[in-house]
Amino acid sequence: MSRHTILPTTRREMLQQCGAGFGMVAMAGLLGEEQARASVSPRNPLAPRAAMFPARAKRVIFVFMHGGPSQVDTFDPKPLLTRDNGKPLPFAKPRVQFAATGNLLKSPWEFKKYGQSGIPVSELFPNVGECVDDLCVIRSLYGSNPAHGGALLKIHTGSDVFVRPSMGSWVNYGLGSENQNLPGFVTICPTLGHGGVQNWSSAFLPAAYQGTPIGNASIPAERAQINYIKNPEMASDGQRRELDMLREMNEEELRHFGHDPQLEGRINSFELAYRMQTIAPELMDLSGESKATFALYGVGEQPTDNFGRQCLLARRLAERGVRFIQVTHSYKWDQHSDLKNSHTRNAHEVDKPIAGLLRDLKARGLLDDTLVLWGGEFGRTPTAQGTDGRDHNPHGYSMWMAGGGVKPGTVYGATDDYGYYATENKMHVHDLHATMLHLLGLDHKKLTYRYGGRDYRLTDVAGEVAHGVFS
Amino acid sequence: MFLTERMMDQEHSVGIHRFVSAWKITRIAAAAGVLLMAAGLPSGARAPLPTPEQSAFFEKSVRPLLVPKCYECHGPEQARAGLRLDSLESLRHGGKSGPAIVLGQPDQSLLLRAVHYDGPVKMPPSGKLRAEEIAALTEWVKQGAHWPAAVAQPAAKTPDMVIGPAQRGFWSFQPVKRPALPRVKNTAWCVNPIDRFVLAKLEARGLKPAPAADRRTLIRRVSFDLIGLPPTPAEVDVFLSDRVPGAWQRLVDRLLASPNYGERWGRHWLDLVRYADSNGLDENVAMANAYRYRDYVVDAYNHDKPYDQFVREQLAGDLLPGGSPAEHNERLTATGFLLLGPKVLAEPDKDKMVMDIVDEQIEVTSKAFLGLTVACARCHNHKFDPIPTKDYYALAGIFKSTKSMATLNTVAMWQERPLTSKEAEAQAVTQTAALKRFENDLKAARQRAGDQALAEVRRNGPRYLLASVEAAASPDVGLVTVAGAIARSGDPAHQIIEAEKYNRGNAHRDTDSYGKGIGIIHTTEVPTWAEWDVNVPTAGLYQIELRYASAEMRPLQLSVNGKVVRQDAAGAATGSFFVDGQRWEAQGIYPFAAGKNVVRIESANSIPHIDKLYVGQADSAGGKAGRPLAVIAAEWKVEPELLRRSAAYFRAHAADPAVREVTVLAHAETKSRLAALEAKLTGGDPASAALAALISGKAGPLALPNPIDPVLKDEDRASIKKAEDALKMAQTNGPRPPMAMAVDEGTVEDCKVHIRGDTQSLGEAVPRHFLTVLDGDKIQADVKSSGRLELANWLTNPHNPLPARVEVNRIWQEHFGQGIVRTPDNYGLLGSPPTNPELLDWLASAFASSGPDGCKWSVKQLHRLMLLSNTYQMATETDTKDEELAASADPENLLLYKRPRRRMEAEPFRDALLSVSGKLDTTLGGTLLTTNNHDYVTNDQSGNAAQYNAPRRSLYLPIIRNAMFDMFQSFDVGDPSMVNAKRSTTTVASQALFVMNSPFVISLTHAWADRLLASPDNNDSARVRRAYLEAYSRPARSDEVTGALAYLTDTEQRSASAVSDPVKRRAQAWSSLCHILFASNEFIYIE
Repeated sequence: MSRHTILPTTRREMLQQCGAGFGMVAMAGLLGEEQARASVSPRNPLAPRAAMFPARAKRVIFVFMHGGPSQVDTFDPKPLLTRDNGKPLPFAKPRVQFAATGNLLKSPWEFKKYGQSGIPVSELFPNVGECVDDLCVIRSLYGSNPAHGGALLKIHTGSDVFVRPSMGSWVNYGLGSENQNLPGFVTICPTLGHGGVQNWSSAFLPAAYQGTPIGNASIPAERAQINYIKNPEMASDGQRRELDMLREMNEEELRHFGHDPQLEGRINSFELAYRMQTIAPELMDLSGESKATFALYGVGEQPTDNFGRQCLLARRLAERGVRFIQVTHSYKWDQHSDLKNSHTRNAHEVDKPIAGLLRDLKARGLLDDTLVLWGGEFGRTPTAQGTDGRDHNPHGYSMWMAGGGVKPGTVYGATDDYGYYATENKMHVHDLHATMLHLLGLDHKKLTYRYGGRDYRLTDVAGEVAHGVFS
Repeated sequence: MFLTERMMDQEHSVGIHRFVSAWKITRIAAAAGVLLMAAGLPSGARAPLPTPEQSAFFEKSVRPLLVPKCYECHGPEQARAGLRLDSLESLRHGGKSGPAIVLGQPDQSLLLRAVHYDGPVKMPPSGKLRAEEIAALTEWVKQGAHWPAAVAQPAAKTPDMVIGPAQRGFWSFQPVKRPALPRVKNTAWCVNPIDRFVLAKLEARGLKPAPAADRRTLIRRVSFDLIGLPPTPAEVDVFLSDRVPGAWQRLVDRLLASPNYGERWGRHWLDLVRYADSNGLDENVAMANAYRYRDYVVDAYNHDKPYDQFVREQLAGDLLPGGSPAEHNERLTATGFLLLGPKVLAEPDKDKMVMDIVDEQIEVTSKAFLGLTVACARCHNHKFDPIPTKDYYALAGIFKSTKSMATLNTVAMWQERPLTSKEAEAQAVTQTAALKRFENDLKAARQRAGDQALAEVRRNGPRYLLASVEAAASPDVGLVTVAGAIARSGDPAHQIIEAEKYNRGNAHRDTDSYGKGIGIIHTTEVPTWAEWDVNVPTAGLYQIELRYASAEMRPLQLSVNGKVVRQDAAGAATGSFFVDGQRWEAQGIYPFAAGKNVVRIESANSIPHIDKLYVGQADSAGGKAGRPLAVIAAEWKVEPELLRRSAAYFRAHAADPAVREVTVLAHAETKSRLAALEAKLTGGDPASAALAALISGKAGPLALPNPIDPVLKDEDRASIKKAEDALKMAQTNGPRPPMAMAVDEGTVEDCKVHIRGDTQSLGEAVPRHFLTVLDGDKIQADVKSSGRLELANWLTNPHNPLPARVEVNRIWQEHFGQGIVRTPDNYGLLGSPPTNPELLDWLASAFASSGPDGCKWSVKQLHRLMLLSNTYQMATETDTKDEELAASADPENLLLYKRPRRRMEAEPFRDALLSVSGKLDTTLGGTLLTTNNHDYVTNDQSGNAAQYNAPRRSLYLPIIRNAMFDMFQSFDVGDPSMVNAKRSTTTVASQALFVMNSPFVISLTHAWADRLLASPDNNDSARVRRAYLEAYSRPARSDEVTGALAYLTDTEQRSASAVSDPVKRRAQAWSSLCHILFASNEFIYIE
């Protein structure tokens, strides 16, 4: 290709640029510094902004397992737990527990070493296991809330007590969006319970930073849509004429008053909405994907079709420059009983799609600057609830990161011999947030927003960057 | 936008959690080697002082061990197993297992046993200590465990905060002074003192006020401002043609008298007090009585309730003396203010939950009435404002002494109180008596049934026992599933029937989610039932099996040919409701007739997710040994369900001597087995007593189950059901007093300082009082009451400078777009200082006073003051020269040289769409929430039950916290969990998408177009002019009429081929024009 080409050089750039142009960028130039504050300005609040220091990741995909998968049955093998099955936990349980649990319960699953790194993964996740050389498995997460609602809010917003902006909103507030025709924060089939919209809301940040849901957990991924993205009655040419007439009237009014950034901003918002609705059908339509891609994600086969579609859509959004994408596997991981059957079923639904997502991102060169984050709101107790169940455990559990500047094929941190408490390189949820922001080139202590007379952060007054996970 | 240097290292406190405090304490303790102790040694228990050598040994060898190895679990952060190791006292006192050490006795000290790893408790869990470390600990205990007194610090005290003249001198804490009116040049422009204050500032900068807006602009402006609705063309005409002086005042008074005024201004208040119809946070359950508070607020505005009274009622309405029953109800309802906040209702840590709720109440109270962020002082003294932690806990004591929650158990419930009236009280007495009667009836019916069942068992005990011997061998007892192995398609002797193909019933067929790929039935209405017609080739015994999935036990009633055969069929939990939880479970063997039989299931509650039925010939039908239970029961004339239980007992206790004896007897080849058994039972020897125990023993085979339901006779079952129905009917239909979310007095006590906000590290108790910087520490709450009434009185005392300043500023902000203080919820150091301090104080003093211009706390009077000023009536545009001047002198329009242009908020915009299209339902008050109180509003199973298409004013649409109406969300309504003292105005694409594509807006374009087309106007030009008048309160210009007509013609022509009906074509074109007018900037911006 010629050096002088003005065409986008990659499919990704092309997808990001298509439809852009008129409007937002020009708008920004019209305004003085005085009006540049995102909180009051009608100028495009999603315009890309430079990171504070060189970023390792440009975007995040959070693969969220609602309910709380068990660390000792997935990524944190515990030989002593197997050995001491049925015996009492040899140390104290936490002061506050969600429910009472009994003696130690060994994992019903075998662990196998995968890849060059030889990191053990349980037989629940054979496909993710094959990707283990790309993962940094964090075994020392801990939080503070043993109930679903509080823990969901904690992992999504950093607070389990107050309504605070979701991490996707913070990231968009910090960096803006790479694609001006799509929202910068999209959540695919999110939960309506346990905090519901609080988990993707912008709280006191401007509304432009709130997550845009595509469907929700009660809707199959196949039928999920962005709200009001299609006119139910009118064909697009008719609507275009309507919008042209609207613009004429609005511009006539503007000529009468003279320059007013508010009025101009609103004129442009209709143009952006129109572009969004033009792009959305193509974005949501998976039919152009190859058979090989479908097979990779398990789309078109059971039990992976639903989650496969969600993961594939996440890749398409990442490709188009959406800054923060969340994929939620609905509230299924809460095995107070029936651990063996239900964890097996859940893992079967997600294992292949997640591995597919990782492989696909890697093949497309996207994994380098996309941070993939996997995990639930907490882990589970190594002690038994009933005979075949585990209770909530926020005191030590596993998540993993991939891509976006994390050290691949490594394990970070550890829990005690039985997997109850994080002990080594402990990583609090605030630390996780600080670390994620750091990878995006944002200092969590400087990413603040003033509300109600105070500067707020995603990490509240805590959070330490875990430099050990960086490559 | 990002943190400034100044702010970078400053910490804040709101939202600090146990984690943070624990994190800090451990770090401090580890780093400095200093112990933070909640309590020192009581002087009476003081051990002898250690020698310097002993102290040195402790500091060198013992403390360095204890701090890193033990304190994370047994220190200030947490005391696992009740044990703390951070003072000698707590070591000696020990935890749940007893004292950790016995002085001088290492071998009797649990601590040493644990570190030796030679008992059940092995400590520390991270790994055994090194031998020399264990030796040091042993030596220390042996010598008497001397603990140097020097480090045993007294209770960690909150450092006192200095509140002196410097702090009190901050502008907002200064008393409100009534400033003299400033001199101005252009006195002619000033119609009231407000204009004088505004003009003085403008003239000082060489600026001029913008010219007055025209009357059309003014009526549209003030209508949206006061009632949130557009003026009708007729109202505009009346105002334009009123040339008598005072027309403007008459207009303002008309609008203030409209009931729509309270709806508009009540909504501003609801923003501030985080009103919602659901709890939000973790458990999003309906607050179905919240609307009574909303109605109270609307009513308070409409009746111009004095602001001081309004504040007192919300904080302490339940404590106000006197008043009529109606006033009593109103005041109770007002205290809903304290309860509307989001709460973590499934919080397992109850101490934390209580303090989090108190914190939320402090937050809303201090921000709403004082404009101060008092909640920042939960963990430490306020970083910027003179608010010490002690003040926070002085206030916390007031709210903690208030009963806010009815229960704390998951899912917790907030406090509600009945609203009274004489009729309701009388009804309640009757109702209570009636309920009592029905409850007694039910109890009696159950008692009777139980007695009868017991008598029957006693009478027929011997028959049951003998029958049990045979039944224990019946295939029904320990029945195994054969469906998977035996059933073949097309074999009528072993058929499998898809559950969803039932012949009659109401069960819900699901092939999509729980039944994806297999098809199942479950429950959408109760009672749930289904019947299958089953044709079998020959009469005989058939085994029934069900394939189902259920995560919980959901027993149902199984009948064959109208006869109930089991009460607890399909009652097992299979692990999940999903397809993977599906499994076959055998239910029993029952006689079937040749040809058609009817199998029926029924449940008063939810049923398991049933996939299939199996009906197959029982192989054992012929042989006597393996006869089914139903047959044996019929032969012995005993109740089958009780026989099933008894048989299971016989099978499980075959070796029991009494069971063996019955078994031998049952197999004896004698015709009088029954007589023989009866004889043995009355033998009077120990063996006969053991036999008798089989019949009447509480743990024996014939013990009645509890509840007794499965073994009841049909007639008893019917009479119990009748009594239950009667009770239920009385509960449902009986009069229930209306309930309001309202607080009560709780256990009155002072609250201890929570060190760093931690509920487990308590400091000294603080007497209940108010903010020190505002002299609130000089008044202390009554020892016998929570102190809310004193708090309310302190807040509404005219000497308290903040409440009036804060409220007049908020009202100014709604009228003028920006407050005089631009941070309406922060009057502290980080807030913005007033742009016109004299004006603010003049307004504050006028609001609270009764002198000339005094409002006596009347909000309507305050509106009049502001609205009748010339300042309010300025145009949004001024001449070019002034605009240029202002660009450098006042670029942000802080001094109001012109009127700011404002976008409508979500509610007036939606209401204007409804109003202009003619669809608005103006009913006042009530609720649109359809969810029962405390029921879940949103979840993943049923989605969101709230509906937003009602043509009522937007004020009445449900505010569902975890699933906010998307239109509200995108149009900046603000998060209803937080104090919203000021809405932001953003412009985002999702707003445009709503306007362009929402079925709601589109339906209103049709309604408006239909109305315009049906209007008496005789041509389209007149219709266009009418549309402009309705939408914009102004006539269309001629070029606009021409443009609109051209658009209509063009649109109609383009659709000619697609839409053949000309009437429809015309209607569509008009809808499209209406859509454009709705979407235009002129519609949504107020000049």
